[in-house]
Amino acid sequence: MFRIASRANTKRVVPRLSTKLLNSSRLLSTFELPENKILETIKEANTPFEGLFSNKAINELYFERGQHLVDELNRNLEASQVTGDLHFRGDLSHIISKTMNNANLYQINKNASHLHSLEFFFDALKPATLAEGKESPIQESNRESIFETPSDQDIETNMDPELVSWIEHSFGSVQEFRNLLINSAMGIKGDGVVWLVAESSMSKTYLSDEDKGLYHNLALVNTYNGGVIDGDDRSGQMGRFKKYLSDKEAENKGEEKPQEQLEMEQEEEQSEEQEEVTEEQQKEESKDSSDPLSLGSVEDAEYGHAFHDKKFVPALAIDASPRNYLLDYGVYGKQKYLENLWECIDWSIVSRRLPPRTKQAISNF
Amino acid sequence: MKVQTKATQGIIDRTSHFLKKGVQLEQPAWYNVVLDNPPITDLVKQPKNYKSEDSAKQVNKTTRTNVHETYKTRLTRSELKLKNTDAFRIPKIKFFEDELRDVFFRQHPWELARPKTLIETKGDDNSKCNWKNMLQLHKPLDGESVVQRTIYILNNETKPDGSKYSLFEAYDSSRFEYYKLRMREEMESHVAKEEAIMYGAVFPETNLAQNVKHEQEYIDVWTKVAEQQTKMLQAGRGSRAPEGSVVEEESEAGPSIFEGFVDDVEPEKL
Amino acid sequence: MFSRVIAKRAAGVRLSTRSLHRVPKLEQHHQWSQEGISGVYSPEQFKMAWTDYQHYLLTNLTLLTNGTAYENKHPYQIILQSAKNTTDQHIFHYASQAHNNHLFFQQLTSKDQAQETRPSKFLMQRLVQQDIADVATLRSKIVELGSSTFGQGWLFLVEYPDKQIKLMRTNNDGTPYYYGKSQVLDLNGGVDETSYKFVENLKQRAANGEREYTLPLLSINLWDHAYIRDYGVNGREKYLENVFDCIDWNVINKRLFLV
Repeated sequence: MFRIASRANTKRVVPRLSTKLLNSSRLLSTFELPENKILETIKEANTPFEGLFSNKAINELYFERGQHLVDELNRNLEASQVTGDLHFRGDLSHIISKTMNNANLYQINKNASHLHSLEFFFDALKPATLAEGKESPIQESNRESIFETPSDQDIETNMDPELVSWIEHSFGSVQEFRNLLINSAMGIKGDGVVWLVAESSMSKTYLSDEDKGLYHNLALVNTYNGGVIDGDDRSGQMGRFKKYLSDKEAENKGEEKPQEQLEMEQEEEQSEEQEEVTEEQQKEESKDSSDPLSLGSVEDAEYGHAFHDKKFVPALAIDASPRNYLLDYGVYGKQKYLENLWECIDWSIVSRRLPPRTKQAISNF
Repeated sequence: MKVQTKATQGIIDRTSHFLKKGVQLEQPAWYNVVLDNPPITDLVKQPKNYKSEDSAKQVNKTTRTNVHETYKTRLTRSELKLKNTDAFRIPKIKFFEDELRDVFFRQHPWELARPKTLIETKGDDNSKCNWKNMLQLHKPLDGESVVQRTIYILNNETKPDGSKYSLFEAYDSSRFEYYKLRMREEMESHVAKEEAIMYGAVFPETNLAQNVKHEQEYIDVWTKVAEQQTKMLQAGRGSRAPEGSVVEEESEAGPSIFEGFVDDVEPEKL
Repeated sequence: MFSRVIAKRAAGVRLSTRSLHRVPKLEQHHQWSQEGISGVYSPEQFKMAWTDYQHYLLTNLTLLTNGTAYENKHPYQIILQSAKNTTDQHIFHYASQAHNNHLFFQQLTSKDQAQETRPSKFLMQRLVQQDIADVATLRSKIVELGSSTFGQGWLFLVEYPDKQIKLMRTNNDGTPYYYGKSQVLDLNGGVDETSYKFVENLKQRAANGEREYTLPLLSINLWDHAYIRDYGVNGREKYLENVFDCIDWNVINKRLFLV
């Protein structure tokens, strides 16, 4: 299932009675900005987040933005309650997956998922300890920095040996892992997050609901604009889309079908997949029109294999959105920001978030 | 000077062979002439290896006092003889960079497959480059960047402990810089595509399909050329034609220059 | 208008020259970098949104297009050519951002001057067809659409081939010039039927090689780069209100195709 942040008290869900509704017995969830002790101390002491953010940036990025998201979320939740479409209870991830495929609830979904990534990102950070007399690395980058070659020498982390060995197994070495992480984040242009996830080695089809899965491999996954790593929903899309196709066929034969089945949910990955299958169907119908070039491409295969039916457990989120580096590092500072960020990752929290590692010889399927 | 047959032997051999096999039906006008009067000089210029002492060699000027008060009115035979015949030989130019290039492209043969523009606006693009960093505004990132950066590191940079880089270390360090930049660019391209798709971008065809199509155009041309070449090979079976004499064609250049001849040949003769 | 120094043609012979993308010169660049744009930008924010960002985009564009087929092309031409190529999307990003940002800054002026200009009657007549009766409605529509957008993007007022003028919001680096890359959807959450059908329709159009004739009239930058320093992370709404008041409508009126 979805793992929420490591510390149990970071999210406070306060059930309270809805005053606006006639049916006052219905419970409504409202949210507060998750508590983050490190950041709150920083805010009170008016000090920078050593090694990564200035005090002003922390205030903007966490407190101002977080509060804005929380307010918007609560406002939209309440509004949806008033219209009586649906009502939401429970934690953030529950709300995210509930609202995922409904255009009317887009605002709730977006605010909730952004809030979730924000919390997940900041929870695994800790201020770096600066060497005595060393200049603070929080500095605006200049024009010349575009030409600089990223450095990956002398990487030291306080990862525990088990995590190191898992990373070496999955990525080759800590150095390669760092390069991949930073390069993925550099590639993101707009809002987006790079996630370190543990990937279940068996497809979900073979796992029962209670089965936690076997985690054998670590991987990096990008999500954009507040997309969440939601193993359940992503993998479920495949089944739903197949159902949709069969429904569609039924519709072609003039049969009636329930409206909610029409609701097509799918991610882009699956839509590529869809194309392939549709083509195959067409091929069955008319074999003459087959085009050898449009047979399933490597991309289709990749998408099909990489996402569907895999369970992901996120362990680390690296927020690569422009706002994070613009305030302190300027337009040219993304690379520098990400390099500093690497120094501020609390690996003990990452280790704690990861599921137990399964060592096994056979992977996939 | 001995008669040089090397320069013309190949073309005489081959033409004779083609005539015999009927690939070429008419004797070219020059055929008998060249056969009777092979050129006496070797037309292939042999490169000369310049050594540093060559330029440093001083003409030994020994001054003799003219005891007999005689005056020279003409040059002796030996003085008339052309001494510096080396001047007519093309010097073999050797650059340090070439060795680096050789190593790099041997290790990374696919780097040669990257298209390269040879035109420069003024021919001084390298002077605009500052090899303090590998990325250059005036030059695409390619194998040449590694070479130039290696030389820069060798000449200008020192290791953290203050010692100089050895050639091997400098090359390695610049090679890894190159890998890092390429990795970043490749990742940027992948992520940009994925990101675009997640915002609803669609593409008329995938890059694979595009490449297959593009490749097919070249294959179509090549099939024609290959057909000609197969005929040529069959005609040449058992001939003494020197190795490498089969005309190698760039696919761009279209069919073989012998096309006309081959077309005239009836299939039975092949 | 655009930034690439293009090869000169001498007596019919085209000289192939290599050139760099440079930040185009804005008329009031000097003044704006000293004083900012009154009514919307401080000098620091102007530096971030234009001087630095445009330089960043164009330098990266130069670095990526050096020695490629895009080398001697304007950002606009690069947009059109790279849009359909799956492996050149990073190049597309820099070209599209640079082009959009230039469109955006071309139409800005100080608030006092901007208030003296207004949309032409012709433009307003077309907008009325979209239920935008006056400038105030247009303003509130733009502010509402912009501030309810998550993530980065652009707001355009575009003219379709059938002469309709509509608002278009593109996510990230989306361009109005090609439907396949307009990126008007957000598929990062779930996908509903409407957007699914929308994508399918786009795919069909792309497969048929359909062409696009949409042109932007007005462009508004929704990227964090455009407001974060002056307005803060939550300041998009305030920023949009201010920036709307600083639009030089004379520029927009001229962009409308008048025949």
